[in-house]
Formats: sequence, structure tokens, C-alpha cells
Amino acid sequence: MPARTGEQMDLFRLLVETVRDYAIFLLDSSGHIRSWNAGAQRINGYAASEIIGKHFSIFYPAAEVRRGKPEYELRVATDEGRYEEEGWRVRQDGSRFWSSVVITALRDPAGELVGFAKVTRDLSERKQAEEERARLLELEREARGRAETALERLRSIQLVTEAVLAHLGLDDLLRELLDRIGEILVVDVATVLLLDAEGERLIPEGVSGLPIDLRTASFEAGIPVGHGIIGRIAADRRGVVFDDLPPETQADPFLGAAGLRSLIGAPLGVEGRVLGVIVVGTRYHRRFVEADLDFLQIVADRVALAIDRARLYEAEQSARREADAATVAVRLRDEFLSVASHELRNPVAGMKGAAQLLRRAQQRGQLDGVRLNRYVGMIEQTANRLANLTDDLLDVSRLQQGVLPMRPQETDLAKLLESVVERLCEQNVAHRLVLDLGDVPCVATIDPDRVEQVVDNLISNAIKYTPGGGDIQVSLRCEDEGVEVRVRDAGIGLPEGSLERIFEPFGRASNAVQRNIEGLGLGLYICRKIGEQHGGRLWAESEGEGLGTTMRLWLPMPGDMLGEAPRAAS
Amino acid sequence: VQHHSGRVLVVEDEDTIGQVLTETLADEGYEVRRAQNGYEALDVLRTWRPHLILLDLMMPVMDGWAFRAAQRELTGGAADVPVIVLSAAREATFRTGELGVAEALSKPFELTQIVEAVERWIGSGPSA
Repeated sequence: MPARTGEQMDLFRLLVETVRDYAIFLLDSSGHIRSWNAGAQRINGYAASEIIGKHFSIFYPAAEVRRGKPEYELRVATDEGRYEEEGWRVRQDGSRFWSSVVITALRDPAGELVGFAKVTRDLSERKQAEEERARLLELEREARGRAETALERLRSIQLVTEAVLAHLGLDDLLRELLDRIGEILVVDVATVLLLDAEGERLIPEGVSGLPIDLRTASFEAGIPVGHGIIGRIAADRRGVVFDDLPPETQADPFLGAAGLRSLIGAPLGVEGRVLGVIVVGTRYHRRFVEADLDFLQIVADRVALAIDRARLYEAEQSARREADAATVAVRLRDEFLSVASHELRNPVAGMKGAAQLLRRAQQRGQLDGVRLNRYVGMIEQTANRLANLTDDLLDVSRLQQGVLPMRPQETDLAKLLESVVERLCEQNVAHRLVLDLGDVPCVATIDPDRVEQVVDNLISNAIKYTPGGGDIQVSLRCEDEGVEVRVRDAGIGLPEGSLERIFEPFGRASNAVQRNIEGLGLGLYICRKIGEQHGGRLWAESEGEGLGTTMRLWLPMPGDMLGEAPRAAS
Repeated sequence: VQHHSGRVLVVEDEDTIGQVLTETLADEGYEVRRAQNGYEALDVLRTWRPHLILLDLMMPVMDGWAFRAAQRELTGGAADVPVIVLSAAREATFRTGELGVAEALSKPFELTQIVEAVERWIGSGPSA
């Protein structure tokens, strides 16, 4: 049996010595190393000759040795037969490894402690795997964070592009855009500079965060393409990031004025064309990250597209406006020619007819004094009408070049009104002119001929547009600030939309045109201009079609112009 | 001086032209009445039957086109009275076709044109 036991012991020793996955060794009762196996050498690094006889605390980190951890472990193993733990151990080369340790007390048959068996396993790989998992977890958390940031950026871009879509006007668009970009990137200054028509200079078109007084003339004049940091963005068609701008940029008209310390900028490009650049910056030192530039570039691409569209839209609109204006001008001219030819042909036809009538009567020996008088009167009357028409046309052409000549003089307005009303009364029997001159004398410094022209025109209109006959009220009111002449009729009235149209050149009320009431549409245009040249105004009031019209002429009257003129008898 | 017989209604808002036409045709021996617009003309036609109507087109209250439309609806022969249109409006000459009138003269006119046209239509029409 001893031989057998000896054989077994040899086998056992062989097993222990060749095991490579576990460090297995014996300690004496004081903790000095007595044996060493291949596993111990692999895990701890020491060769058997280097370690046998050394105290096992050599495997422990210095801090744990100071705390007396090795002695504690042996005491536990002595008292309880076994000590087990996972902990850091130190290799020969000083590196640490995570190990699982079991220390078992060895006793002889008498129960006397003879030493300890120590089995150590290197758990570094497991520990690494755990750490890897923790690291992956961390990475995943970071990735999720980045994804959330990206989503946030995306929302920001949407926020900016919403502004782009909401407006089509270029100015509104840039203002809104820069405000939003400024808020999202948390910068002090945001600006868009657009290439001028020649493609030579970048002109600031929108600036956010730069007080007006800092916008120097050289800044407003723009930056040549290729010049300075901003000019190079357009020339190189590449975004830039400056965490700390070089000191020479203080001389730059834009960067210097804005006092920028850090900036990022991106070109505004669309379909290979550069439209300008967008630049944002801070007055403090700011470390811009790559994502900031990416964000700015994405925004820049959309902004460029929007600017391109806005320009197209504006070009289209202005072309359309021009075309519309041209069409309206042609239509107005055609209308004028048609109306003018009618208005001029009628009196010419009358005059020519009256002249021929006179000759026929004379040829037939029927021309007595009564006939002669009548025919000459007809010719005279139509000649007067033609003269009025040509005067109106002359006034209009003068007004289109500037103003009407005025010869102001002190004028008794009551007398002026009376004479006009008297003359028109003689010519019209179907209408009754009711004159109300008020009870204050009314003397103003005006051009009497021009104001008479206005009053005559207003009353004649009232007669003309009251075809059924009736009362026409003419009143004069005199106050400190001015005088007002009102002409009220109970005629065809003014439809909505014609209240202002009648004061335009060749503008006529729709109902007047429908009823074929003669007129060129010039009189009220001229009258209003005469009123305005006196510093006053002329306007129309009407309850609507068929409900009559009131024309009101107001002329200002400085206080010192009020003289003690004799009151006009009514 | 020739003396014609026949009745002519002059529908014209322009006073001078109205007077010239009335007096000329009266001198020729016609019986002439004058209306200021289409509405007055329809009123006249209720009690008086002319052989010819001289009609202006652009008139207030009721213009020449509206008068023609109303006249064609009249009964008792009034619808058949021939009409000569006189107009200062350029389009009058283009639109006489739809008016279905005998003749269209543009203003200004020669008095002899008027006298000849009236003679032509009353000469061929039913005599009074």
C-alpha cells in the first residue's frame, strides 16, 4: 500500500504540477510558499525557483498588504478551514488580474496545522467581458444620446425650414431664418450675405444680433469674393470652423464690427451656383463641434433653395405687374380714344350741322334775323362745349407733367357761387338750384377761375346725373379752418366702388357708363387736383345707386385771410 | 324749295344735333317730332306713327339698342317703321347688323346725306 500510496502521490503531484488553468500551491503555516505549479507560473509569472520560500503576500496589491489582508485570509482559513473570495492580485510584472481564490487549511492526523493549499484562478477574461458589456452599455447610451441630439437637430432644421416655407418674400424670410438659427445654435450674431448681380461682392442682406450702429459703411458695402474668411467661404465653396479667430480679423469690416471670437460659416449653393454665405458666431470663445457645421450646412442648402425660389417668385411677380400695368395702360388708352372720339364727334357734328343749316336757309332765302340768331347761338354753344373739352384735355396733360398754374387772390366765395348758380339756372329749366350761403362772410385767398371751374363742374355734374330733374342743393359754410362747398343732388347716385373711381383720369361711375351719360371722365380728376393744389380736398358721398350724391369741396382758410368783406346778398 | 310729306321721329339727346335735324327736315316739308332718348321715343310712338325714325345710339335713360329691342316688340305696325341710325360711336357702325336697321350714318354728317336718306326711305315707304 505504501508503494501504491507513493505511486498515487506521484500521480497526484504530476496532475497538480501540470494543471495550467489554476495556480495551485502550498503555503507553510506562516504563509511562505512551499510548492508551485505550471498554472501558478502562467498566472503569476514567477518561476518556481523565484518564488518558493517567499511570503504569499507578494501577490497582493500594496494597499491590501498594509491593511493585513493576507494574514486575515490565513486566520479565516485556520479558524474555518477555508477562505474564498474574488479580488485583485498582482503578477510578477506588476500588472493586476482579477482572481478567484480558495485557501484551505491543511492539518496532520493529529489536527495540527501544517500549512495551506491555495488555488487561484485568473478571472481577468470574465472581468473583461463584464467590463466590455458595461462599456457596450455605455456606448449604447451614448449612441442613443447622439441619436436624440440628431433628432433634436432635425427638429431644429424643420423649425428653420418651416420659416423658409412660410414666407416667399426674401426680406421676411431672411429675418425669420436668422432669428431661428441664432436661437438654435445659441450664437450672438447670425448673418446671410448674398452675392451682388456682378457676382463680385457679398452684400449683407440679413443680420441678426448686430446693432444698427455697428453696421459700418464698409460692412454695408460688402466683402469681395475670396477676400478674408467670409469671402473665402464663397470662393472655396466650403464651410469653415474657427474656434478662435486670428487677431488680424479685427480689421475685417464684418468680423471686426461684430467683435466675433468664434464662428462657423457655410456657402449657400444651389445647383452648383453660389448665392452667398451664411455665418454665425459668438463674441466669447466657443468650441463649435462638427455637428454645428453639419447643421449649418444643411440649413444653408435649404436656405439657398428658398432664396432661389423667392427670387424667381419676385422676378415673376414684377414681370407680371409690368405686364398688367401695360395691359391696363393699353385698355385705358383704348377706352379713352373710344370715349373721346364720341365726346368730340357729337359737338363737331352739331356745329357742322348748324353751319350747314345756316347756309341752306341763306341759299333758300329763308335766313331771317331770328334764324340767324338761333343758328349762330347753336354754333357758339357747341363751340363752348368743345372749348371746355379741350381745356380739360389740356389740364390733364399739364397735370401729368406737374401742376396747374394758379393765380391766387382774395375772392368772395359767396359771390362766386352766386354767379355760377345764376348762369346754370338760365341754361337749365328742369332743375331747381337751391343756394344756401350761410350767414358768415366768406372771403378766401384762392384762384377764382380755378375754383369757379370746380364749382361749375360739380353743379353741372349734379344736373347731368339727375336726368329726371329736381332740386340741387348748393351750400357754402365758412369756419375758422376753412370753407366747405357742398353740392347735393337726388340723382342716380354712386354705386359702391365708384366713389373713388370718379376721381381717376377717365374714371367714370359704372352706372353713368351704363346709362350712356356723356362725359370724358376728366372733370372730377381735374377738380380734385385743383382742390389739392389749394391745400384742400374734394370727395364724394352717396348712399348708393339711385340715392343721390353729395360732392364736398373743402378749402383751408388761414385766419388772417378772413377780411371784413361785404356779405353777399342771396 | 321741295315740299315733301311724311312724318319723321328724331331720337337724339344732343341738343344742337336734335335742333339741326328737326329744323332741316321741317324745312323740307316733313312733319318732325323729337325725343331725348329711347324711353321718350316709345312714349311718342304710342300716339303718333312716323314713317321713319332717326335714332342716336348713345343716350341716357334708354339707349338706341334698348329702344330698338323694345320697338321690335311693338304692335300695330310700329315695329315695322324703318330706322336710320346716327352715331358718333365707332362701334355703332359695327353693330348695326344686330340692330336690323335700314341705314347707319356716322357723326359728323353732311346735312344733304340726311335729307337724301330720308327722301329715299319715305319715298319708297307708304305715304301718309
